[in-house]
Amino acid sequence: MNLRRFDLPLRQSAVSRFLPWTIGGLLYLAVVALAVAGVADEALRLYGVRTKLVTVTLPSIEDAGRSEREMAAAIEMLNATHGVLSAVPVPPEELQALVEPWLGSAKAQLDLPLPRLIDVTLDPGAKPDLPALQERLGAVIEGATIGVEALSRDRAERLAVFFRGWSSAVGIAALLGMLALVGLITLASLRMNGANVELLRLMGAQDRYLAREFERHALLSSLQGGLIGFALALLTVVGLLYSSRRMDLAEAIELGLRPLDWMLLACIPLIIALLAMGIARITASWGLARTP
Amino acid sequence: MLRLERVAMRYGEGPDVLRHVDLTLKRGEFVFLMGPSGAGKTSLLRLLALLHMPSAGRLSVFGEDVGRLDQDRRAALRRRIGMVFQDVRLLDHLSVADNVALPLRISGREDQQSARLVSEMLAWFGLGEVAEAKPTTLSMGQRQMVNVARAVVTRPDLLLCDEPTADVDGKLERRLLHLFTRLGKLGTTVVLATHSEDLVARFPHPVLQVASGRVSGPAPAPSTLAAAE
Repeated sequence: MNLRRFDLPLRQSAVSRFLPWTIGGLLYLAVVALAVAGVADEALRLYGVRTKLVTVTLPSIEDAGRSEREMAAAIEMLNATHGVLSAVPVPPEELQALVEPWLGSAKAQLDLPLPRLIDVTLDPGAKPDLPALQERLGAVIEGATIGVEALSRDRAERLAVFFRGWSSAVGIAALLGMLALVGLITLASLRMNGANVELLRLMGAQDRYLAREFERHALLSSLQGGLIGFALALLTVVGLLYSSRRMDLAEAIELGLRPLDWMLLACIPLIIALLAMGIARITASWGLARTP
Repeated sequence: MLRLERVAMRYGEGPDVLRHVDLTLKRGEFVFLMGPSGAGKTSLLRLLALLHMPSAGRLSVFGEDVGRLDQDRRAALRRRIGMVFQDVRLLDHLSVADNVALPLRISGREDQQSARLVSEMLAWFGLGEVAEAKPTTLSMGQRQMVNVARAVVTRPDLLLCDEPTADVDGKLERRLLHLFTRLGKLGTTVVLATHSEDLVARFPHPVLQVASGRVSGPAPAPSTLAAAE
């Protein structure tokens, strides 16, 4: 049996010829968008594993009593913050040990004022709002800051959440749009082929036989357009990942997709082709049942 | 074989285009269907081809009351009917051979058997050389032969012909009529709609007259009457 031979001239009409290219374009968009969502999800996972410790810095002051009160207030505020597991002041000796490689023994002679540091351990799952926390700390203790790296990581996480949400939405919308298009084109082809459908019916063709023509056409168009769209999308995703690594966009982590994500992306053309086939069959059967 | 009792037919909500049609045709019978344009000849053929259902009365085809049949059963009955269209209606994206093979493919015949039958049919019609050509490259006479070959390739029990000789020359007209007569002798019931009184005069088959949606006859063939006189 020749799978590419159709009794109905489905591959000849302009509207049907357009189908593989439209599917290719939409599948390209869907795969790239879902890959971006997958990369963003993986980035969030990596950030979740790494974002555990941030450092709060309080400016140096002379007044020991005030320093103690500010430190106590900061610790209390941090401990009361959602997502903070612990807040521990860095002992002065440890701080001196930290700066010793740069200042050497001169520090003791110069008696330079050193900032006060607090090590804060965060719950990776809780995602505390660090900019808001910095604002609140600054209101209580003038000049209090949260480590720059932690803040930029927080922004990157927000960006990843944004991309994951929107890319998933765009990808799913493209896939749904593609399936809706298959339904509409099937219906349009059915209307355009009214006389030919009647001819085949006259020869004894059952509606199942006729619906299979549309179903097969949708399957072949989806596979043809889908594979081209998928191949181009794959090249785009690989190019995006390569350039993001070259530009070190994510700094602390390496952007990429998990093996499972690659496998899921590879399944998209096949799943879409099968869904398109099913939709064409349902639409054609529905339309044929309403054709006298 | 074919039985119509007080049958009426209309398109959609329109007026009746056929009214009170009573008709019985036996196996192997050959009748001409005559009448002016718009009298209802094509409508009667479409009704007999089961493309439309009667709006009143009872239609039996091959002994089955079509009003009681589901779509699948009606499709099965249609596979026993061949139809020659006046407007030819070939599928231009298929080759001549594929056009002729269509009814065989629809009825689920094996590819090998279909290929043999199609090849025989094309040879009989002298279309062997254009088997792989597209219908658009054929002359009107050749297209009409493909149209007829497609209608008879399954050796139908009922052959319905709508003006099959309207656009062909005299030689081909005679050839087609001899083919239909031969099919009738082999057991196919043939209903042939025509305007041509000349054609009816030359081939001795009964005539059904269609006028204003009513069918009368069958009257004996004019040639038979002439012989009796």
